[in-house]
Amino acid sequence: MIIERVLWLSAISMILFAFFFDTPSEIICGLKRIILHPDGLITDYSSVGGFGATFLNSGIIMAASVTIIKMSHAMISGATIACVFLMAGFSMFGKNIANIWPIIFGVFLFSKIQREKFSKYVYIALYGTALAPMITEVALESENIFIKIMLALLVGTIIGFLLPPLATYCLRVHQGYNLYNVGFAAGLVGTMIVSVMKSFGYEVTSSLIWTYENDWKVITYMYLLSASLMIAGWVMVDDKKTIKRVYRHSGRLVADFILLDGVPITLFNMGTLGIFATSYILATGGTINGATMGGIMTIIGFGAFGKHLRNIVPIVAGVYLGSLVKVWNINDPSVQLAALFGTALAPISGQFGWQYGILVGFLHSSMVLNTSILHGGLNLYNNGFSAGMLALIVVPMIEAFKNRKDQR
Amino acid sequence: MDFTRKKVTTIVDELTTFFFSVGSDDMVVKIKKKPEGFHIFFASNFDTRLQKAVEHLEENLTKGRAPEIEESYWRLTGTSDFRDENELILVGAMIDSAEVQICEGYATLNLFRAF
Repeated sequence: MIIERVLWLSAISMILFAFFFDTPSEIICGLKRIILHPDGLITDYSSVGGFGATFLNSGIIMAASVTIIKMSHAMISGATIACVFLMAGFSMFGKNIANIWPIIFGVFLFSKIQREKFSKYVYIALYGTALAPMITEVALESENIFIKIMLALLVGTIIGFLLPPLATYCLRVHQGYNLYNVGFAAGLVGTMIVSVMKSFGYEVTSSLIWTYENDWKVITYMYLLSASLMIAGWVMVDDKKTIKRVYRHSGRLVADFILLDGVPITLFNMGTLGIFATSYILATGGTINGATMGGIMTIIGFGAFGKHLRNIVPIVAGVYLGSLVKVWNINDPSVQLAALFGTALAPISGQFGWQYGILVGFLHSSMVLNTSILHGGLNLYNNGFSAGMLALIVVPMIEAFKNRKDQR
Repeated sequence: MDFTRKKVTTIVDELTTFFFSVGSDDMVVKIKKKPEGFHIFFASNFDTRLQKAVEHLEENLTKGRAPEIEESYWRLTGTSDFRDENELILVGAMIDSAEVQICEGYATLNLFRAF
């Protein structure tokens, strides 16, 4: 019940906050621009439609996600928080109130054909909207509204049928060390579909639409949200010493902190992560815009499902150290996102130690810059895709040496 | 996608891994398929210095079945050496009930998973 309240309050706060930026008519116009604009990486909605429309879009999708999960009768837990906050985050740069539905419909259809309840696939359906830019891409190909809808439903259904079996299968590949598992699966599906599309003449175009100026109202919102979560957790927890309990977990899937440590500790953890991530972006000269807010919201959400300061700081440090010796800068758009979303690999530092966390953070920041070409930037969880591949390479190597003495 | 039998084997795999991690050298597994579902009996000894970890078993196994977690993550069960109680949360999401009895370095588990 408390979790639902937190999720609803967050969604409502985003919707209300939209009106601090723009007038209702400006927001509607902004929302229209967001819907009609291609969404491939990196398309910062705050630059396309303004912060008002971005917050409204995000709030609505957050509320819709809670409603879908609730209606499917799935258990409300840490997984719910992670999923809902991720949906809210990516609704600031790629998912919108128009392009997510065909994929959710596709997974729904898959569950019906399997003669199973949709609740079993509800998270895969929501996470699967990582490929929502593909829906926009095909819908914008035609002028005819009927053809637009049919194309969107066709691609959504294809994605919806491919993702559920593939997403669970991918777990075996990285063994739960990539928290954005569906990102890995979506990357593979995206690569396949884009390759086929290319064979029929589709041209991949990369985009970088990014807000470069900080807005104090946006920064205030992020700190307020994070501080509220921290304070709520602090007030609710009886024994303050137990706050540190969460740090004993590696974070490897399925680390549901709500089930393992309870709501108060989890809320406190989510808040600390939000403050850390926001401060990191500002301290390194980055911008709190739609895309980075998406990263921060996702980190906050996964504060209930695998991430805590102990396991994410080494990853971020690895990306930062990389910036000192590599050809790019720490505040380049892709690198800011790599630092935030690279925390998908947090379980590696949580499980094997901070030095491995730094190593994978260092490697991830290079690898992620080369993976979006495979799916044409149409998989929003490009970092999850890259993290899955990196975990596949790194984890067996670490385990081979670490486990040598345990083999008897 | 129905992989019920495979899921039952991964549950046993995870429990085996867990008891190895708490010093077991003697385990017994019995699986009965009945019309209403699978009954899994698991008995094992363990190192009494690690009793605390075993005491958490029932708590982690009785969080309630969660089909959405099961469907998303069941292939993770039994994939790694036991190092965290997360894995047991996943087993808990895959079963309907669990009874755990602990007595002098020996644990017996009666699990039930409905179809």
